[in-house]
Amino acid sequence: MSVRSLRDPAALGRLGWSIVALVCLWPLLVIAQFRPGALFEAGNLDAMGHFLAGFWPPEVSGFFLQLLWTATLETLAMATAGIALALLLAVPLSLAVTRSLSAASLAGGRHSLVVSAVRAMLRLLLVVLRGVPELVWALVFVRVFGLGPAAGVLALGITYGGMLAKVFSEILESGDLRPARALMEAGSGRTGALLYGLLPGVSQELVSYTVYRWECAVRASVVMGFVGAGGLGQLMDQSMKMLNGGEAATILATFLVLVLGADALSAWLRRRLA
Amino acid sequence: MDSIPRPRPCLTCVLGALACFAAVWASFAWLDLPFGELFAASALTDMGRFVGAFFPPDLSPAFLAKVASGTLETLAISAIGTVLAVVAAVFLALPAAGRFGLPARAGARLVLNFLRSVPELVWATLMVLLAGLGPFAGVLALALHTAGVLGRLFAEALENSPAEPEAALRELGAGPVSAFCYGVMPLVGAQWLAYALYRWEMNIRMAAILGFVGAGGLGTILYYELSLFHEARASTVIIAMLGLSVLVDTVSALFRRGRLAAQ
Amino acid sequence: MSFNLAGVSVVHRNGAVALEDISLRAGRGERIALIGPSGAGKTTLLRLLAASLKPTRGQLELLDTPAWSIDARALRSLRARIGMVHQSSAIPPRQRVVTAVLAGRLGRWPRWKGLVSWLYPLDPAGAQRELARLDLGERLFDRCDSLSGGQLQRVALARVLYQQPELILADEPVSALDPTLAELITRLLNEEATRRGVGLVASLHAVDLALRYFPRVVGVRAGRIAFDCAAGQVSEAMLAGLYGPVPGAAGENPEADRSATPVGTAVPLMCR
Repeated sequence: MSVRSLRDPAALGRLGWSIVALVCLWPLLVIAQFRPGALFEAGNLDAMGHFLAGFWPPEVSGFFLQLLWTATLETLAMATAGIALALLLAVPLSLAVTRSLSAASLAGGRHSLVVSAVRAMLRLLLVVLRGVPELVWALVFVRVFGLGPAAGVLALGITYGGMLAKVFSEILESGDLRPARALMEAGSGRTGALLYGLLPGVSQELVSYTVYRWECAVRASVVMGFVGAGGLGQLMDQSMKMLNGGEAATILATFLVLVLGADALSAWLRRRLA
Repeated sequence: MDSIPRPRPCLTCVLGALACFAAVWASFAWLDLPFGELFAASALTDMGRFVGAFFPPDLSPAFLAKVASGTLETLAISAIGTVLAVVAAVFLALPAAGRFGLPARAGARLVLNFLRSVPELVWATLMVLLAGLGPFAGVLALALHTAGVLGRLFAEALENSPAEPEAALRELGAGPVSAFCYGVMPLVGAQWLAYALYRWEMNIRMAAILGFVGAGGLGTILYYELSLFHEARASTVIIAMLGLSVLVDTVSALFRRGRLAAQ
Repeated sequence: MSFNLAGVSVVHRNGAVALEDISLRAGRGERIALIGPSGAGKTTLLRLLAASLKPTRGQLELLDTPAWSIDARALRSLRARIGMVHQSSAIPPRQRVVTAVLAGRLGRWPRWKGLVSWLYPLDPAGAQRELARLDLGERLFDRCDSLSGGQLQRVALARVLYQQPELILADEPVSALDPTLAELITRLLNEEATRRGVGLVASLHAVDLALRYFPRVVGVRAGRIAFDCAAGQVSEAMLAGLYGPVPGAAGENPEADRSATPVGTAVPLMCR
């Protein structure tokens, strides 16, 4: 064996990538204004210390708990209503967008140019719907509908509608189409063929994904209030602005319970569905 | 007719469906959404005017430069936040996988669950207090939440990897650190990297909106312009966010396809 | 002396007796095959010899060192002098061959050297030397998951050879291989041990390999040493007694073998 063959062939690549990573890291640190020192500046520590000291005892007065309860229900209702709206949007869109479900594909004919163009437009619409974060939609809608959960529900409906439509269409696309085709050949209509031929195979996956999205919607509606769209976030925002540590602690604890609860419920439901 | 067995109605399905409908109905009832007024003719013209104000987007070079630097800041926040999170996640995952005894495992899991359950935006409001307004608060917020998520995933990967390679190295006298590097990292490293990249992808989107609470990035510009009713400028920022999101989607899809092809 | 066990017993935490009153010694350079039914205690015995298991009772000396009355540091350097050939599952699939082999010296190297070598192999020539001897020199920089089972087993062997141990142990090194490969690996193990003049203890399922390649054969049954003979002295009757049904135990269930308190077996201690 020659000396040359003993040289590590991966070494140059590893060295190169390490250098690239380091060279990229430096400007990124500068842009992100990375200065851990700021954490230990007396002023910041003081403000944080005061705030954290207020965490104990948490606020548990009857009046505040009443507010908290209402806000929690509002958060959950926002997530649920948002998902319902999203489904309303996603079901027709996903059916329209899925190529393999078009009458032409199922019947084995040619695709018309117009239909393909419409489908492409709808796909673009989906990209816009889900590409803009729900909080941005909420921020914009708050300008139209004023403060309150309406903006949050609409924002969730739009973003999650886009996401659900995309994933639904992927699931439908990957489903087994042969039963549906057989039904069509036997003279059944397109709707009937889809209901009896395709849906039984993929329904479980569709429901499971919707449940998962509901869990995400709970997380999202928790923070909707930061832009004025109601729910727990709004309460948190007010408490933070008044630097009321006790209230913040109680709300934070509620966040934990809500998020972990939604997590557990969704995991349980999806396990039962599996 | 008795001879034909009738399918038993699936009780759980029916009850489940009823519960779902009840929940949705209760939600709408509770929220008392003003959707009726919303779609009234007068509201529609109002809305039309509002939407119209967003077009055309402000494309003046000075503002574009500002948006570009905001985009760069968003990328920087997400990247540094994810790197910090990976470091923290590794240190939390080791005890969480039970490598330092049961009490340490329970403690680390508690910390991870807490970090993960507090949403990024809430962390951001807290970090703005601690580190002041600006992108650094965003970095910290992303790092804290992501450390919780990744720490759990890393610990699961550790627990699911076979123990023989590391045990064999300990048997030939290797120290704990070397045995981990040679015996465990090759087993979990690739999976850890995949998780980290996936979270980075999500963090890029998240970093774009952390600015709503003052933690830097594109969100800061959007929040500012919208509160001044500069809809045209806001629409430029929203388009930039959309572009960033589509870019991340495309790159990650290409990357995934490449990995699949390589395997 | 390679090792000296005097009256060693191992009782598992659940109360099951794995080894009962084992006395066994081997001089430098002795090559020993361990045979016996599954669950007889061969693996436990090898783990004792690797200083990775502490005996419940009895005296245990490895390479003239009392293994369990020394501090952790000394124990680590003792372990570095004993090499165990594992089954191929002990090598991570995504690791490169060179890294897997160099890992053999982690017990001897200072920590910094181990960590640097993890990122950039510091002694590819050394790894190459051992691999070439096992006919794997061309695969130095390949990933282990691109190797076949037999090649992977040879990588495990190369790691132990690179470790330069004074005592080589092997736990069923060939049980996952086809007969030709099994013979090759057994031969290589014995050749290398002879060439270096170091001790070798291997547990084997294949009795014919044990008798052909190892000068000394130790039969283990139900946690006790059934016989300890030169290969030529092992008789058909002794083997039948070794693998035959345990009196009073149900079937061939290894768990039953392990949990049953070993009683004096029917086969008397012979040869030694």
